[in-house]
Amino acid sequence: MTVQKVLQVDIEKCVGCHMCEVACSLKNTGKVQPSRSRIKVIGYEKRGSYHNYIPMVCQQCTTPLCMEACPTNAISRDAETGAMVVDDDACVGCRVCNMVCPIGGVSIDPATDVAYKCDLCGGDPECVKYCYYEALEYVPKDKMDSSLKRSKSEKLSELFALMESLR
Amino acid sequence: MVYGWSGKTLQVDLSTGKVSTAPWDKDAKRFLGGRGGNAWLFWKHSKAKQGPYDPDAPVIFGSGALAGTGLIGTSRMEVTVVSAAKTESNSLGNVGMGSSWAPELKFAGYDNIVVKGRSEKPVYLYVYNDEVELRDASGVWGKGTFDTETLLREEVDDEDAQVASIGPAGENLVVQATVEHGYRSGTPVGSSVGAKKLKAVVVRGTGAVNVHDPDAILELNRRLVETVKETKKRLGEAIPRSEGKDAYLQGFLVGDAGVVGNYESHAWRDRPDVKKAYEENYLGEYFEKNIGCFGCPFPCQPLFDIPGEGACIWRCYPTYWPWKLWMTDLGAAFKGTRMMSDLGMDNKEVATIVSWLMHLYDMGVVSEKDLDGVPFDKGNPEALWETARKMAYREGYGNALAEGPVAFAKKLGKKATDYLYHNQGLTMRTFEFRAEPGTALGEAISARGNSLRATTYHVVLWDKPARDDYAGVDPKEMEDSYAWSKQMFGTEKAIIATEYEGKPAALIYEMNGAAIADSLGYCVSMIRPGRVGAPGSQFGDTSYQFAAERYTAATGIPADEAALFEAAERVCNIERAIVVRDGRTRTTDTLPEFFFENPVPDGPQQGKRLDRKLFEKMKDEYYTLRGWDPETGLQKEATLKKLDMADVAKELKAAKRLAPARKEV
Repeated sequence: MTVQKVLQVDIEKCVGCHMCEVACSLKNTGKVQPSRSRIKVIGYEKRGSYHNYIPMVCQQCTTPLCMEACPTNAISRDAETGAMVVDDDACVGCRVCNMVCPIGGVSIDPATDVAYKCDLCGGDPECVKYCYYEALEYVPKDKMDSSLKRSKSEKLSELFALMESLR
Repeated sequence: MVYGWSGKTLQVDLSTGKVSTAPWDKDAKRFLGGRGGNAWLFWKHSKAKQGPYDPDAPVIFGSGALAGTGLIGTSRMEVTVVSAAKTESNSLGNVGMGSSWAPELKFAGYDNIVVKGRSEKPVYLYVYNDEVELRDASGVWGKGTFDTETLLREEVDDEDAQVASIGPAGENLVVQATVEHGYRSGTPVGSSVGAKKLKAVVVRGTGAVNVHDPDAILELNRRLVETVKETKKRLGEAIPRSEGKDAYLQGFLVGDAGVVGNYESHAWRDRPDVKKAYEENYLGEYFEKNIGCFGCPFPCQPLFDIPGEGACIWRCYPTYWPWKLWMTDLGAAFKGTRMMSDLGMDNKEVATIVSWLMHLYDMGVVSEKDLDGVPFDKGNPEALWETARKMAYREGYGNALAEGPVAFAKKLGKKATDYLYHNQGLTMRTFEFRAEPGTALGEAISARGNSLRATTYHVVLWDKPARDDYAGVDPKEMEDSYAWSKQMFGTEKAIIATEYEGKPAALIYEMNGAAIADSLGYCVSMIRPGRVGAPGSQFGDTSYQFAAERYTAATGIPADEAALFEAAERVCNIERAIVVRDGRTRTTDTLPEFFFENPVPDGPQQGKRLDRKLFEKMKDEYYTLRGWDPETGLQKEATLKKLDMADVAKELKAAKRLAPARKEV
């Protein structure tokens, strides 16, 4: 059996272009509408001082509180992709999933009034295809750990150069 | 259903507070949007020879036609006003900039905003989908643009709101004032906004932009990402612009442009001690990261954060300041950039004015007495900072300069006037017109003036072979460049910067290309004349054909390169109609005498000056190719009719500003 993949977020690489929101809304609604994107880039900007961005998206929890809390059992895990998916017909729009989610990964679509969230596009997430600097990557579960560690180690590796220069 | 566009123009009258909408569909197809759409709205809403501070004068904010369509790199906006900075002619003033305002306006449901009237008290316009409100701006009046953007986002309680604002310079009707958005600005348009007591336009939209073919848009985006990856492999890590180092130290120069001082030298910047000082002062260690525009994964605006100063982006434009001011202290120049972005004024105008004053000071034409005791020694950054501050707040000599350098020169006397080189009151920037006939013609003929939108800058890049330190054309492919030049413009010489031959055709091609980019809201780095892989661009497929494909995917309107060029021809013609209506003729399409009389003093282009006869011959050819009357520079009825602009021809005819009927030879 192939290893399931996860949508990995490396916040330090995000440049705040919102391309993931564009791709997500295009793929899921056929229109460009970031306000209905399943992924959302939160900006921390102060002009003249700093510009930081953090993409927030459902992480498909091991113990999905949304599923546990859902009174109509509208949320379940897709066996193939591992994504938590919403059954639109069963959802009553009570927003309990939204209340219990620790990271705001699920919300109510303002246009349809039922829960909407990242479903990993059925195993082929659109957003990662445009993330040039790879703040978003779709990586096998068993590679996630080493993948992020490698990315974070790049900064530390500059120490080598520094040490070299001081020698 | 309208695809691509929102289909609506928002109209706001600041005098009455009345807000209304008008359809934006038929005109959209003629003039696209952005610069072209704005020009059309300006034509409709302005009067001949209107003053910049006339309450009825329109201020137009427009989003590019493709903004918000999800296509990568199509997020540019345009602001169009009666220019105050063109003190000698007024008429059309415009500026284009990126970041995130344009798509946000589309999500709010509008393509453009026409603001007329004048408010009694400072206000800002808040657009949140259908809710449009004029709000009290007293809390931010007097504040810099950085604080204004941050505070207004707090006030509307929405960090996704996008703010375009003026700073103290715009409020104080300094003609060099800009409209700023996310550190972006350019040619001055700000005082025309300040005159209306309009501090900012804050937009936020949660709606959708309908696109004709969503799958095609995603596919075209994927293709672009792939080509960028390939280009990166070929050119190396070119996307993070290595902090603009290329611009300072490498091959930004075209035809050896990049003047030093007030057109006083070229050789200075190549002096080993100057080069060394540049490298030593290089800002690399303060580089934070690149930031970009909405919907573009290849951010290209380097953000620097200098301790004690703060952060700001610093791109190619300011890179020639240090030369203009004989400065090698890049930190000091950065401080000037940041300061002026916050004050809301055009750093290019101010720096060029300072270089002129340094020249006069050096010759003893002016002294510290004329300049409130500020020493204008060459290279002194104090002169730049103090001039910017004094202009923005209208203190001392800055008060006089805030009315434009021409008025100040008159005060100082004949010699000061003789050494001021300007185009309708706008300063001449970095190009060496004496060695670059195509760009000289563009400067003279451009509707706005002072314009990267009217140069042969990108066409002549095809004549620049790559070197170690410069990503030009592959030397093996130079023959293709000349073949292309011959095919397009009738001569190989058209792409050689210093040649006159073929330049009018090359200029029209590049001007129309710029009009396409500016009207579609297309990133100017992603669209370039010539074959795929334009030198200086890292974006792979920069062709107009690719732009046409993308336009079709978004709008559903079948288009090829020729169709886009026809729209561009229309854009250039509506802009010409505006300036002609306001008094432009063949005679005023010119450059200062200086460039014809004084040869380049040193450097590789030493001895070159513009040839009057060849220059006038280029003009003949240019007007003819455009279908304008070479004798007067006015447009012909038949030309406008052919471009589906009979309505414009009719108005010009009524105003007696149409070319007289002549027998066709």
